[in-house]
Amino acid sequence: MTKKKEQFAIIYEQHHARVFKMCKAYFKGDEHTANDIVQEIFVKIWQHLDTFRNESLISTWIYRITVNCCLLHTRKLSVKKEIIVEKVHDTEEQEYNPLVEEQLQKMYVCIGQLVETDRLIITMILEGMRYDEIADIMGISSDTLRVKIHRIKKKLANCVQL
Amino acid sequence: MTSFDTIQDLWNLQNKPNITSSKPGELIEPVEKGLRKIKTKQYWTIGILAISVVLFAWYIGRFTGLKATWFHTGILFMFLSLLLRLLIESWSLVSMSRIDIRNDFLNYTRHMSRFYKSRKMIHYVATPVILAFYIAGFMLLLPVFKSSFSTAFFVYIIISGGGFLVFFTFLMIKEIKKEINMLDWLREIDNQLL
Repeated sequence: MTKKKEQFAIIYEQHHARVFKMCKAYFKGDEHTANDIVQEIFVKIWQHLDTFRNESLISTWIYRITVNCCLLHTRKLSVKKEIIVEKVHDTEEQEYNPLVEEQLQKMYVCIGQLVETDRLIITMILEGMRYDEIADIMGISSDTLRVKIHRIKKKLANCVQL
Repeated sequence: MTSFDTIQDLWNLQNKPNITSSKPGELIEPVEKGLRKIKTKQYWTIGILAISVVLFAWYIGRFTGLKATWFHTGILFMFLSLLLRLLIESWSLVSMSRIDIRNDFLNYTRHMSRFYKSRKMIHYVATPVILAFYIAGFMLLLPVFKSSFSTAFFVYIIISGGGFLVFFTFLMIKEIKKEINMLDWLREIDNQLL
């Protein structure tokens, strides 16, 4: 395997699940759309991997591509058209818990009700990313981000009320 | 525990994603193939367009001669308006592909907005001029058609030509509306981040 392929394999291994979860939440729980966009993201990563110069964290670089691809894809879907949250539980090996599934579905619906940028920010927060990294990905100051996060969390908590 | 902590717990509870997008190696191969295919297709498109332009110019020069008649001016207007449209669209494609997806989100959105603003200028300035030239060119050909063809065929040319123009204009208006909506949406996204 070439060095580029090795590097790509590591990136894929380390970031695929997170990128998928981000996309799934952004596209309101739609796994099919999320899968398509994740493929597109990794194609972009592969295309641009040679240009990564360690000027930022590799994760920052990857999630910049992720959020921009999500934005682009929203346009392709002719935006704002409602994506119906279908089944959330079609994954393997873990027990099906109807209560958890119902709560998860409600969570996706609530995330889906947020505006696009809030949706992107909250998925990164939920994925446990650092504030400065999120600010870097979104291109806003940490202070602005903090204010936004506070508002988003409040909105989301009000909506979900589990 | 706040409500948000509950959401966080729920988020963490999610199952591992169902990976239908295969292994990295399996992903790379079709990607590389696809990229090569796209490049080859682009070269073919450029080649075919260049050959078409050269052939058209040769045909005019060889069989009708480059005379300063209304007929030739008409053909020239129609040809140049199509060529200009083609160049503008190619330039737009290149500009779009140059927007760097590795930018931060705000910058990326702003670059996209700038791109769609330039498209708006094209639609409001260049498109009407191109359309006017195309129609003018078509009108200049009509006297020659009238004297050369039967009345029935002449009527057919007018109806089909007019029909094509109406259809083409309808498509363009639809596309313009779509792009203006996109620009509005990008502005909205920009405002969300302020």
